Amino acid sequence: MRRLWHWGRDLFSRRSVERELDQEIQAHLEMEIESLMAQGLSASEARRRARAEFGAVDAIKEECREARDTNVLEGLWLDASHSARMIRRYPLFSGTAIGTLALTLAAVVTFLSLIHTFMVRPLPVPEPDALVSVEPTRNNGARTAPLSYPDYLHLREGSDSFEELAAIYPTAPLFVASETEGREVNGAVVSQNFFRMLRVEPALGRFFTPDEDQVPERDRVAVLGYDFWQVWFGGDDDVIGKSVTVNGTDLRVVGVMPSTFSGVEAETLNIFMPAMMLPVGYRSCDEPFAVDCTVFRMYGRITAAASPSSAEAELTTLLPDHWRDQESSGNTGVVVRVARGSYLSGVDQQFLQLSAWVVGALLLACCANLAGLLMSRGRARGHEMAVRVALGAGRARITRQLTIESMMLAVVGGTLGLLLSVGMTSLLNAVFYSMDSSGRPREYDFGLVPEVLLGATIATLAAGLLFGLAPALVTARRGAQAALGSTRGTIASERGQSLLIGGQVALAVALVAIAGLFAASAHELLSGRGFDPDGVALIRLRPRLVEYGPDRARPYLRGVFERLDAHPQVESWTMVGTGISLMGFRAEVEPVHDDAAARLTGYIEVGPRYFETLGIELLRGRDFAATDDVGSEFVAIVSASAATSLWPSDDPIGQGLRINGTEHRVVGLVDDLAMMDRTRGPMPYVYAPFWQNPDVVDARLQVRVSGDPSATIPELTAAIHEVDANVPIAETLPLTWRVAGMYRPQRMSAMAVAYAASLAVFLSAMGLYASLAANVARRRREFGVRQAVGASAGRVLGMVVRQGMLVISAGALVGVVLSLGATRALAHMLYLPSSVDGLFVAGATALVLACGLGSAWLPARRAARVDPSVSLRSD
Amino acid sequence: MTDQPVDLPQGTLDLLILKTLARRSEHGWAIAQRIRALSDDVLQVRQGSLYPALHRLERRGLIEATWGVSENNRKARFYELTPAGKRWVAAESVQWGRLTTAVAAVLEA
Repeated sequence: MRRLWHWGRDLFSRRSVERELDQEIQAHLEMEIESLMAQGLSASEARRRARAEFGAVDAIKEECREARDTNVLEGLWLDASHSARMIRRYPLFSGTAIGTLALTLAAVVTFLSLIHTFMVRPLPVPEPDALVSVEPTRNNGARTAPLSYPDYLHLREGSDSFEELAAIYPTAPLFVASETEGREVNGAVVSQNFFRMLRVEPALGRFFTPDEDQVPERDRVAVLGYDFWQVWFGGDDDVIGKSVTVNGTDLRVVGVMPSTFSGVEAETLNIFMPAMMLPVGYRSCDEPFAVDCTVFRMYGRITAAASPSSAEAELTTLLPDHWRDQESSGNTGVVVRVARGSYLSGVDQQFLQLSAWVVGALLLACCANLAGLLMSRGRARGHEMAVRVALGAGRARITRQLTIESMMLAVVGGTLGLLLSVGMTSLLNAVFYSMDSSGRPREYDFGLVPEVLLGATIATLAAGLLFGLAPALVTARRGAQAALGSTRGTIASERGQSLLIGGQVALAVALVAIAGLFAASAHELLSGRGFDPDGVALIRLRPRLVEYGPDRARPYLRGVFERLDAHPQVESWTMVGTGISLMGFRAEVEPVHDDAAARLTGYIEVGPRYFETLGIELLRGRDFAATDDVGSEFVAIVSASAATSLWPSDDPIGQGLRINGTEHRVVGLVDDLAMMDRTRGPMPYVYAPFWQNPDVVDARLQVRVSGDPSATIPELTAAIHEVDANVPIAETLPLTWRVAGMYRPQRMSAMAVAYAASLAVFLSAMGLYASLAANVARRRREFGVRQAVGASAGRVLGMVVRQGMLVISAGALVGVVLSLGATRALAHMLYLPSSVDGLFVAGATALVLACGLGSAWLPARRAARVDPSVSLRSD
Repeated sequence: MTDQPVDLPQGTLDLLILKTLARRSEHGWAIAQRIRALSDDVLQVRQGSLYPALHRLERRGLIEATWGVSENNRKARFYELTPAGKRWVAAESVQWGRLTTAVAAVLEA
């Protein structure tokens, strides 16, 4: 008890304990002096004798502290306040260290936030850990495959692993009309147990009943998303029982979702319809409930007894018979995973992998750099250390104090980095993640969560230890040696520091080169290779959603085209039937007069002037014309790479070509769209006329306008609306936005690597500067002597610059090798021919060398300016 | 030989301090003087090393410290034995007596 009291008092009144210790020793010395003077000694002699008798005051105080046993915690406190003083005393060093740490750790935390959002974040529902996604797999490697409603029922009824297994079609384009406006919103078609599976309660009204899952198209009911209810109905309670017109069908509102749940993915779900209303939400199947209409995805809540793997094992034994012996495009199995994060495309994954490397390299570079800085500062503080050792501070004590100093730097830097990362994620969200490539809004939650905070803390402390511990050990050892008058170890640690700087330079060169290549790739992709995206507006017309057949759609489309012809700002227009702008589906093609095997190519059905409107070069032959219609001969246009592959030695024009079994005659040859990365050649494409497809209903328009397309789009849609107000108009956006959306991961990679590269260049330049500056400061006398014996200032300057550039050049050389290796490893993310690599590597090397020269020049000039007479006296 | 000051055997400083304090409470300087005087200057206690020992004993609850005023009106930290300290001194003194007797017997044999 008493111990505890002592301990507590000592701990909490540390200052007073420390003061008492001072006073006590002071009193002792004074009494001794008095007594000695009483014996006849002079005051000064008495003072000297008293001190000698007493011994080293600091060492004894330290022993007393140790004796009090509170030493560990107290010592930590003492060290912390000492460290805080040191941090304030070297503001330039501390500022640089904190700044680089903040910028580096901000990148780390941002990366962790991305990882968390995309891979870890659970759905915002009660007990999310039991929620799983059940995804069919296919032999063709597709990662998320949909399945048909009968197959879903088959699996649901056979399985015992789930409390609920629900089906959802979460990307239903719903054209919602009210008296005042008509607009496409995203909605979902769900099995009635979907809500029970989530364990959410309606904000208003009810969810669907089991009975509403029985008869196709009988129960025309809908549940509204919370935000949709707020925006379209003003959050009015009277909404229950009102009707919304969705894709031309009136649905009665029966309930409203809670505000906490907006969707299973990044798409906000505005309207929910029961599975039996699938024909309204999904118009692409003639028989929506047939086994070949694969549209649903599955989510389930597993029972307490089941695990994702046991559920997967069970479902695998229950697969529908027709899943066996499937060809490549059919479902063959299922994968069950805990429902976390968000869907990630392959390129998104590439981006995250790359980011992991970049962030890791950056963190290491930052720590290496700070370790180097601390070491050279440790040399500058050699005197301080020697004094402290002489005063009785143990090596362990000094090591601890120095480590605490770097930990404090790390914590301050980490905190700033955390704040910075909040800005970074919201910037990333706004620039890259707020809409998809069709211009539809997406919602990701990048908010900081405990897991990310924990990760940030670990990264911060690890960084503190990583860059702090080694220099602390070296400095403490050196302090002990300095106290003994030895300078051994300085040379070795200087060599270590040169290695650190060389390593940073190598990394900087590689990162700059890769950043340049990425930026050039992104620029190339955005500005379009083989096509010209500027000035093109995209508009999607969806008469199929309101159940128009070809007989009604054709006159409608011709009406729209007349409007476009009449519009003064429209320079040219065209349309895509099957496919989207610049991207088609796959088709099986084979030359008619050849035994060559059929092959898969890209396939798009396009209107006349497609190539002209998108700026794709027509190499030979003719474009499609309005006369290439259902009644006339089937014609086709092939891309250069398709022509080479199909007819390696013959002229493609006039050749017969079977596309999905139908014979066409090739009338034109167009340039390739070089949108593929370095590891793959251009995708071969085959084009067929829009009007020759008798079933065409929907159309995607590409309209080249004079001026800014985003400004012209409202006028265009208004004009189109006049033709038939019932037809949904969707995905209105400039082509440049679409391209930017398509290449988001590439743009992000370019940005992330550029960020890391600038930081790496800065780090290595600063590391070199600090090391040379410390070196010059220590060798002042040598430089003075050199100048005194006749070396010119220029010679001294050259000597120091040479010394610095030696390290930089060696590092740069390694960097060149590193970057050439990196271009190989990252070939799948590069979109420029490898012939340009040398240029970028050379540029990066030149840039880093220039920065290195700059940071060697400043200390060198200082060395050259040493006044011989002053420096000879400086030691 | 007898003129030379003797270094203290390990652990005996604690006992000397406590024994000194058994008479009355004292401050550090006085304790040092007293040990020296009582041992006829034979036992040389390096003055500084007294304090870690005092703080250690205080920590162990054998002595207690209070601020007081010394003979010549100086603020000083006075130490006194706690009940536990008194018991410890009694026990240790007996131990010490047996030890020294035994050692002396061996040396003189």
